[in-house]
Amino acid sequence: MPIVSTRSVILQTYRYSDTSKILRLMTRDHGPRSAIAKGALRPKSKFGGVLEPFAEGEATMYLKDNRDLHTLSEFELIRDRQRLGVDLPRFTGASLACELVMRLAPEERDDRLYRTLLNALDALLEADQGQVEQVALSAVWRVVRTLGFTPELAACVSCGRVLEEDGARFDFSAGGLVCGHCPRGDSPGRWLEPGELRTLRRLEAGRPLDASLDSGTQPGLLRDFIRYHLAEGTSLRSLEFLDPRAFG
Amino acid sequence: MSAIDDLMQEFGRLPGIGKKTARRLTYYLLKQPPGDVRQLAGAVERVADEVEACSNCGNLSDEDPCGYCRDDRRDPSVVCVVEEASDIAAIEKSGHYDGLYHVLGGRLSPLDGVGPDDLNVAGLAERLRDEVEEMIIATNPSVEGEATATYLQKLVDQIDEEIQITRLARGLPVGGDLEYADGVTIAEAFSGRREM
Repeated sequence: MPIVSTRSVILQTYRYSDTSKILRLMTRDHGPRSAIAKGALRPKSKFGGVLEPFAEGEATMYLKDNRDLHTLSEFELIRDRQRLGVDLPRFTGASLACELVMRLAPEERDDRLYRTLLNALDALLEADQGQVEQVALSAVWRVVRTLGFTPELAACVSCGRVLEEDGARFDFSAGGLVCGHCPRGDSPGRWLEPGELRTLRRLEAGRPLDASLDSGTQPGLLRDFIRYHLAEGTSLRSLEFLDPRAFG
Repeated sequence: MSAIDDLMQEFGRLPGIGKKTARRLTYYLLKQPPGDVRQLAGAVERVADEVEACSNCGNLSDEDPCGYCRDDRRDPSVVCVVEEASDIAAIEKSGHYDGLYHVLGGRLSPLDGVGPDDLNVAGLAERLRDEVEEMIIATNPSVEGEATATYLQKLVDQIDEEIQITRLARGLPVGGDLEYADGVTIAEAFSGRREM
């Protein structure tokens, strides 16, 4: 039963018994892990109030072979991100990034994914108020890319023609754009007008939008792409809340 | 399945109870006089038959409206919003609150698929249109609790900007030791410090 100490981000927490919490962690050195923090809900717990979603810390755990649930011994806080909770779009974006990692991260060390997750959470935390939605979309696209689902947005996936400013069909099953000259199949996807395509490219590349670009249809696009590729037909729970109208 | 296995299985479905505890509880009951066991079974049955959510505040009670809503000594101009009915007992134990309550039945959590439609929010909006002057948000001091508080604040602002919205203070626990407090709690205590 080796004791390991590794930087970790808390993806999700839930109550277990009157005094304990179970955490889903993305650890830097061992990939996603579940751990029980015994006594975490006691008023004078050594964990205090730090075991909250989106927080990063140095987690010390007893890792047991062939066990799904490990025992958390310590969690030394590096950065709490409680403020993500005071803004619903930030909160939703952070939840979706964490859910993607929880559902799809490989069960092994993945430095790039760990860094991408941290960057996504920090970008959401630090975004200017008017920029939150696009930062959330961009952050989630970066996680999607790092998980290996980068869509082809530069050239037609069917004929290879480089796509400039024209509109094109975003074909989810083909994994990218299909130009207007190629036959349109019955596969799921949607036509993107030139403005939508420019917006998508910038969001996917993590570049800020200029004033002329509207991100209005982008949450739905991201939602449909994720649902098709990553959620295998089922939905990610957080996806339903990506649309700002979800909160009235 | 035998009666013993059946009972163990039912105990095992309760939160925080594993197989061993379920077995221990089962064999404990088997050693008790039959009358005591029937009393326990009757209490469980009564809870199932008689307890419902109060149609006004969502508190769990065997009366509708519940005792807090019917109590005319309580101040109807103040409503304290809590996540769960069990939070009411904790607040009542303090003896420092004499307003009414509203139970949301959970908190916003996209990761768990819980959105505004899953909470008792419509009932709250309806109540706030009446004589409420202050809404105290007593959701848990967690990220989800904070998000829920933010959502409620926006909701109330849309209904009536005159309603005062307050949030329970956060910080060091009474009898605690500053030296052992975590950074988040100390930061909250600093930002919520008050003039003496």
